[in-house]
This record gives sequence, C-alpha cells and structure tokens, in this order.
Amino acid sequence: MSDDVPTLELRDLHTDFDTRAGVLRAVDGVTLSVGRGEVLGLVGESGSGKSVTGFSIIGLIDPPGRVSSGSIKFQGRELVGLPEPELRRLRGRHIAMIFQDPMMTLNPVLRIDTQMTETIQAHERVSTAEARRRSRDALGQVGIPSPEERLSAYPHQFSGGMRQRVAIAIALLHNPALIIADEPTTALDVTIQAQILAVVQKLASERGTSLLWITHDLSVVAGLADRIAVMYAGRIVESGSVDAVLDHPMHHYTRGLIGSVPSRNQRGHKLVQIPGMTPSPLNRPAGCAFRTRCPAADSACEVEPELIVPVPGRELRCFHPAPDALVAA
Amino acid sequence: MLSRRDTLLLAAAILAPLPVAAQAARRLRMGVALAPNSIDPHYHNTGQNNSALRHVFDTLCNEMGLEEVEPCLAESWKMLDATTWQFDLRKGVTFTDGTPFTADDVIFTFERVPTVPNSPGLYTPFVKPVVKLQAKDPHTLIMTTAAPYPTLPREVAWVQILSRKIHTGATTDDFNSLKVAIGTGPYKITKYVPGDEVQFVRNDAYWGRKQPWETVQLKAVANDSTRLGALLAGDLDLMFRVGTPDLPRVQNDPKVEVSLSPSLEIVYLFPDSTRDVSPNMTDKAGKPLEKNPLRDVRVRRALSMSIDRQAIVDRVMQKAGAPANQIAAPTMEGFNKSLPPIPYDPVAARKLLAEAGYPDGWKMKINGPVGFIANDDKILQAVGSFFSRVGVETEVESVSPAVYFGKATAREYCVFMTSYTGPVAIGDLKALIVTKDPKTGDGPFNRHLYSNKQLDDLVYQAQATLDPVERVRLTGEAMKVGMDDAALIPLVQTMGSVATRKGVVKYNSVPIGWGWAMLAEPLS
Amino acid sequence: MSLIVFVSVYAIGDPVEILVSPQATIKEIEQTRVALGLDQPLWWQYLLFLGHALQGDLGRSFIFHQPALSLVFSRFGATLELALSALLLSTMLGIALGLVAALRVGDWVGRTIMAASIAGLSLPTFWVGTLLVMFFGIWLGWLPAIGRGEVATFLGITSSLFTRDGLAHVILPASTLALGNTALIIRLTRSGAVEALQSDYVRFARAKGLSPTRIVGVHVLKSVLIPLTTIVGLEFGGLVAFSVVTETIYAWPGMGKLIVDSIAVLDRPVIVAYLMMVALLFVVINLVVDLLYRALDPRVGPHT
Repeated sequence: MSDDVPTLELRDLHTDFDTRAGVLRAVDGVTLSVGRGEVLGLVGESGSGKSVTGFSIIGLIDPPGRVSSGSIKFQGRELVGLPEPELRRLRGRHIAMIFQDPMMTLNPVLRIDTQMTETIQAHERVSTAEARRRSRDALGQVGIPSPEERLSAYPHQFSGGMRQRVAIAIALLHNPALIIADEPTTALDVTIQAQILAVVQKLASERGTSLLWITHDLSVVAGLADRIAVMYAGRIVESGSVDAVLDHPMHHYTRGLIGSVPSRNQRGHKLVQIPGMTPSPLNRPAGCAFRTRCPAADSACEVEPELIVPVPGRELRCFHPAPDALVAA
Repeated sequence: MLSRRDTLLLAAAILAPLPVAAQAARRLRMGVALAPNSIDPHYHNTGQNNSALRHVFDTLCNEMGLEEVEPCLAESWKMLDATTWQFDLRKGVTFTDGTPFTADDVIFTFERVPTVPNSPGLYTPFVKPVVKLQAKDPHTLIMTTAAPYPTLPREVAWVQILSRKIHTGATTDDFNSLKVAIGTGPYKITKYVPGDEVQFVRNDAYWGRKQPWETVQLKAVANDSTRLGALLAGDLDLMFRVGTPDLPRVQNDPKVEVSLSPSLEIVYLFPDSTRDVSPNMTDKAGKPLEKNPLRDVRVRRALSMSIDRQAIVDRVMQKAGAPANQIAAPTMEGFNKSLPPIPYDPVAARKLLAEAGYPDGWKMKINGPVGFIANDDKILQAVGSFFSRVGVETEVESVSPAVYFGKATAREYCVFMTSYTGPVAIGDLKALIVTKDPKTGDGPFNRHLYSNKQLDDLVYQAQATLDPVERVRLTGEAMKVGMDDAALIPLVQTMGSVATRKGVVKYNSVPIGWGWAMLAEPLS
Repeated sequence: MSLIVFVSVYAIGDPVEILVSPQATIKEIEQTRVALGLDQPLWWQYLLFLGHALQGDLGRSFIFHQPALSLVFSRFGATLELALSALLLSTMLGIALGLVAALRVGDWVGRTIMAASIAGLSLPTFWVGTLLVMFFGIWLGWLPAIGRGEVATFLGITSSLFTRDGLAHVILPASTLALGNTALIIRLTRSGAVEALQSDYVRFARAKGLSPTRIVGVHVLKSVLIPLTTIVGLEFGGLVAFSVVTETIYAWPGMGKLIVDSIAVLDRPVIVAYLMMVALLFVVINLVVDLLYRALDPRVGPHT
C-alpha cells in the first residue's frame, strides 16, 4: 500500500521533561510509521504521551522538555536536530497540525481571513488578494457555507463544528503530505464529530494526505483509520491494521480499552473498567508498565517486553498476549 | 563689595545717557523666581512686576535703595515751598510708537493709578500725598501735597508713566494682550506668558544709554535648585536668588560667578505686647497663663537677648546675611547708626526673666511661614531652641503663607515671624509699629496693634521735616524708642544673591534688589 | 463636585494678605477684599460662582485678572504636548521592553528589564527629573534643562513638537514623566505576553509555521494591546492632570505648573477652574477608552 519511503517514520523516540521531581519520560521509546496516503490512529488515554508524540514530530517541544533520543524521519529526512528555520519551513506547509479545541487555537482577536492568509504568506510569496482567494476556496471545500462573509468574521462568531472545519481548512491550505490531528473531535458533540470525520476522510483520500490521528476514542479511529497503534505509558504496546487490532486485540490493555467502550456493554450490567489508574510518568513500574493492572501479569513481566511481531502486520509488547479470539461480548 | 557711594555712581553711570559704540546682536536670558502677573504697570504692586515692567516703562525717578533716588524721566526736582514740588522733565523722550512724552502724561498717570479695577494691590499709596498736579509747560510739572512731604520723590519713584494719548481707556486686559504695552523704556515686549516668561526686544529709540542686549528673556523658574540647574546647563545667562543649600557648592564652581549683596529685607519677630491674655502660652504644667508675660518689656528684651543672631547667619543662612538690630537695613535712609548690636547673652536674659517674675520661664508656641522667606522654617526653629535654652520651652510651627498671614492678622499667634522690605526706615516704622489707624491708613501691618505715642509723634514729626539731616535724626530717635521698647524683635537682614555664567555677563546689583537687564553687562 | 472644591478651596487661608503690597494701607487692603468678593459670606460667594459658571464664566484669576477658564485652557496645549510625548515614549519603549522581557523570561536580559521596571515605579519623579537635568543638561550639555522650545504651526495646530528646538526641549521632561508609566507598561506587556506565549493559539501559530516576528508582532501584540489600551488611556488622564512635578522641575508652562503656583498664592478661581477641567478630562478619557476597547476587542465590539 505505501511507497518505498514512508511519509513519517519514528524510531525509538524518547521525549523527556526535566522537572523538579525528576525526569519525566513522556515518550518512552516509540516506533511507528505512516505511509503515503495512510491514516494511522494513535490511541491512548490521557497521560499516555500521545499528544507529546505529535508535538515532538513537529518540533514544538519547549523547555523543560526535549527530544532526548531517537529519530523522526519525514519523507526520509531526519527532523531531530534540524535547525529551527528549517523546521518552520516544514510546519504548516508539509506537515500540518490540527489541535483539539479550535476556540483556543484560533486567535480570538484576529479575523479568520487574517489567520488563513498569514499561513499562506508565511510559506509562499503571493499577494494578499490571491491568498484570500485560496482561503475562501479552502473554506468552501470543508463545507462552510457563504465562505466570503465568513472570512471577515471572528472565531467567536462560529460554532464549534465550524471552527474545527476552519482549522481543517487551514491545515489543508498547502496540501501537506502529513497532517497530525490531535484529538480534533473531542471537544465536539457526536453528530458534529461524524461530520468532521467525514470531511477529513474525503479530503485526505482525495489528495493522498497521510494522517496521524491522535485520539482516546476508539470509535473514532474505527471508522477512519487504516492502521492503529495503541499507546500506554509512553510506549506503543500494540499496533496493526485497524480491523485486526479491534477484532482480535492481543494486548490486555487494548482488550480493556475495547471492553470499556460503552456501546459494547449491555444495558443493566456494570460498565467494564480497567482496574487501577494510569501510573504517573514519574513513577512507572519497572518492566511492563501495565503489569500492575493486567489480569495476565506475572513475575516475567518485571522485565520490559521487547517488541515482537506475532503475526505479519502486527506488533506487540507483551509476554502474555491474549489468545487470538474475539473479545467477549 | 562696593561702598554705597560707588554703587550709586555706578548705577548713575549705567543709567545716564552716555553714548556707546555700536553693539553686536546679543541675547540675555534671566532666570527669576516669579514672573510678572500682568503687563499693566498699575495693576499690582509686587517686586516681580516692578522689576519686569521697568524694562518697558519709566518712572520719574529711580529708587535703588540708596541714600538718594536718581533721575529718570525727571532730570531734576526741588521744593518750591513746604507743600509744593517742581519736577523738570527730560526733553526729547518718546513712547515707542513715536508719541512724545510730556508733563500731561504724568498727570494722566496719577489720575489712572487709583482707578485700576480688581487690583490685588494698587499703587495708590504713592500718589496719595499729591493733591494737585499742574503742567507749567510741557516739561515742567508742579505737584502740590496735602501736608509737607519732604520725601515725595521717593514715593513717585514707584509710579510708572503712561501716555494720555495711548492709554486713555486702556484696561488691564489691553496691556496683557500687549496691545498697549507701549512705554518709554529701554525695551519693548514681544511675548508674555502669564506666570511663565516675558520676552523683550531692544528699543532703539530709547532716550537713555543704548542697551547691549538685542533680546532679553525673563524666565520664571520657581524652584531655586531648578533655576540654578538651568544656569549650570547653559539655559540661562544669569539668575537671581541662589538657594541656601546650593550656595557653598556653586561658589566653588569655576563656570559660575556668585555675588551676594545685602538686601533691604529685615526678618523680625512680632510679640503680642498688648493683650492681657495671649494664645499658645501656658505654664510648664500646661495651665494657661493668667498674665501675658510679653506685656513686660523686660521679658521681650530678654527673649531678644537670648538669640544668637550670628549663629543663625553663619549656620542657617550660610553667611548670606547679617544680624539686625533694628527694623531697617544699614543702607536705608533713617537707619540709626548709633544703635548698638543686640547682644547675645543668655545669662543676662535669664536674669531679666527672673527679675520680671519668670525665673522658670513658661511654655509657648511661636509661628512662622514656610517658603516665604529663604530658610524661614529653619530660622524659626533656631529661635525656638534659643528661647528654650533660657527656660522658655518653645514649640515652633511653620505653615504655608496662604494660610499664615490671615491667622497672623487675626492675632491667633502670640509671637510670629515675618519680614519687611522697604526702601526707607520711616516707611518700615509707619507700616509696622506706628499705631494702626484706618482713617489715615497707617500701620497696615501692625498686626499686634502696638501703640506708643512717643514713637508716633516722632515718626509724624520726621515725616513732616524738610531738612534731611534732621529728618534722619528724628527717624533714628523713633527707631530707638521702638527698639528699646522691643515693639518688634529684629532678627537678621537677608542677602540677595545673583549667579551668572562666568565670562558671559556681569550683574551690578542694587540694594533694593531689582532684576533688570539694564544692570547686566556683557563680558565678551 | 464643584461644591466640594469650592468650599474646600475658599474656606482656607486668606489670599488678600498675600496679594497686597507691603506699602498698602488698611483702606487699600479692604478695597482689595471687596473687589475680589471675599467680604461676602461663603454661601453667597458659592451661589455667585454657580451662577457665573453656568454661563461659562468661572471667574477671573485673583493674580492675573484673566478669565480663569481661558488661563487654564491656554496652558492646556503645553501640558498636552508633554503628556502625549510621554505617552508615546512610554508606550513604545514599554511595549518593546515588555515583549523582550517576556521572550527572555529566564535570562539576565529579562531579569534586568524587570528590575529596571521596579526601579521605574518606585523612584520619585522629582529625583529622577533632577538627575536627568544634571546628567544631560549640565554635565553633558546635550539637552536644554528647562522650558518649552519654539513652536511651529502645522495643519492648523501650533505645537513645539514641530520644531527641532521644541523636540530638544521636550525630551527630558517627557522622559521624566514617562518613567512610571513605562515601568507599568513593561510589566503589563510582559505578563500579558507571557500568558499569550503559553496560549494554545500561539502554539497553533507556530504549528502553522509562522515566523516568530509575526507571532510576537501580530498575535501576541494584538491580544496584549487590548487590556493595555484601557490602562494606558486611564494613565493618560493622570499624565495630563498630574504632570505637576515634572512641569515644576522643568519650568514647563503647562497646567500643572499653573496649579502649583495658584495653590501657593491661593488663586482660587484658577484652582477651581483647573479642578473642574481635570474632572471633565477624566470623563472624556473614560469615554474614549470605552469606545477604543469596543473597537479593538472583537468579542466586545459591535460586530455581532
């Protein structure tokens, strides 16, 4: 499916934060790749390090955080250690990012057209009129009615869903090869969510854009992603094609996640939960980070599990993968 | 320091119409504490108005605070009889619009002086002695006084002369807008910003000595240090009144020339010697005193003796002053040269107090202004501590002049401090300790209503005496009576200070303290 | 308001004593008192004042005998020049330094700026002004120590800001006056900018690949500008009304100097006229700031 060079390739990425309480390993050895035109869903709960992974790729980790080791390759080009002006050239143009809450990410005191044309003019020498025209077209493409009037409006004059469409439009202005979307539908209600997902999917497949879709919501990736990677405590614990992983999860955490989705639970029965809490990143248990909450954990799990490929196309970090069976209904 | 005679000659030389070689265009910037508050020369009698407006308007004679007044628009004068004076006016003088100056203009001026409306302080006292004016010819003026007035030239020296033709019907506003700011003086006004500055340009048609300055700027900078700073920065060429704290420093500055000259200002204390009970006085325990100790002349003398005036001059005034033994300055006409200096003798003071029945003294509060006289609050503090040392526990209170004088006049104080600046000794006596009489208008500043018939008689006699020597003698006698009775307690004579940029300009001070460009000489 | 001012000013002290010459006779003193209307009871004086005030006449200065209102007005221009210069200076310098301080929070540049701003807020104006005069006027001799420079007319407005001499004269007083305000603006800008720099929209702007200049110069600045405008507007009123100390140090012929001189001699009509004008000024400024705020902040404005 993918070409020779993956659009994005992370290898053993480590991102640390220096705090007074010690070194916080937010991303603790992440390896993943996204092919051309592929949608990878990066799933995990809050605190798993998934957002930090996204920011690490784009180079927006500020002190006291830093990418301490590992490699990030974009279209074969190493990004770690790249000087800031180079990174800036990539950002917004070749790698775009969509954030979670567009009310916070759009500057409330600037007009929409300003915020769109500046993105264009930051990377290309075009006239303001031309940039505005392109912005207007982009708004139309994401399904915003009367784009001309909307251009002159301010963010607070839009609804949540509309604002996110604007954010998507901004992301697509330069036809980037990769879009990193960090929980873009979390702040929206379910019906709007579905609309947004539809828009993104359509545009991405039309243009062949690779998507790294970061979310905690399995139901979102289910419909959208080609492949899925599950992240826990800073590490990828399982990855594979979305159907395979969701139908036949091997890692117990993945199983727990799937099981805890409300729609999977029957009425009247207690909701399934994963016992315990996510460990604080400062305080991770040695070995497999999940072992304190895992039903299948034993003394072997005190050693950190290596990445194994149990089945072609699947990756896993677990000593006791669940049997290849459907999760109990 | 020039002797009085030399100063007189110098002043005369400067003001006399001597021909001088052509001058280059020169600018003089003078810094003063206060700017004039009007251009109307009859509006308000204040030092700053008189200084500033004399650049534009002339008087019949010039009062410089010396023994005699000098000729100005009047070349000479004489008494024809006891109540008649003749003034011979200078010929060929014109106002700056070409109108010739004649005796009729003086008549018009005298008519106008008392009529200026809304004035905070008119020049009327100076024209009041004259009941009739007559122009014998265009340059001869006959003045008739109500009573013999031997010192008339000193009075008319304060009245600035206007033109009947130009100034009939002129209002103060007309002057302030510079519409009729036309005089016979050495300069013309080009700009007036109330409270801030006045700008002059040389009057090339002036009758007197041609001025070396093409333009003169009079800039008001109220704060002493700021004004000095402006001089040091080169924004001013000369300035008046150096603040006492700045004196030592600036006297050593190579770029600046400072000259001190005795002024005609006497700082004094006014004790309440008339009332049986006076405020702010209690015994040591805090009970109000039954009898006012200041009624006893021995007490007043004792208090006067307890003050070390020289110490005040040396330490508080940085030697810019002199102890005073009477209510007149040594250069003034009528100054009693034979009065001895008041001794500093705290031991004798204590003895006198005991003799008067106050061996243990009492407690009192004395008052003074702050910001009215240089170092006023510090001088009062010194006085208070001297009193305390002889057993009279004294507290001092200094308040802003805005509230001070009203209270002093209302006699809310038992002893208060202020100063008086008058050109002649008899004037000081008449204003301060002659019996206050609303009918004659005398004693306007005799706030504690001191009254001494012997003193009054001597003063009025002196006033009417034609012979100057006899007049001076009588004045001196009156002064002795007043000082022996300690009607007032004189403290110190202040000094005026002028600072100039060395090598740029030289200023020839006169005792009365005028700030005139006419007294400034360029040095390059 | 006029009642409070009138009563407090007129009940204190006795201007007549200060105004009359030492040679005045008793009769003359009384005449002066009557001429100034000071012999009437206080309540009558106030009623007279009100009556005239409603016709636009706030009386005549006791000292200058010019209409008090026009006297105050004539000085207004000079004070306005000073205040505007100080405002401009403090805004430009304050915003620039505040932004720098926000961008360099940890290092010595940022810390120095903040320390300097504390000094600016705490140092007394009089002292700073005197130091500036000493340094630039006397020691270096670069700038004039006192006064206002020459004026020129441009587009119907006469101001000393249009001449080189005028600008040389206004630098030191404007700097002195601007000191406290600059410090305030530095601190406000810095805290606003620090907050903005940590905000999501700045992060988003970076993700879009915008240059730092654009991010700071447009995004951060615009959001900092809005609360700043309110403060600056109110400060401007303070600058105009209370430039008293600066005007005294530099003998600047503005309203502040006039009021100091008038208080010293109890020129009551001028004091009253001045205070009423200042009150009016504050009302106008508040109005303008309100309007500006609505125009600048789209969330508040008439855009909906």
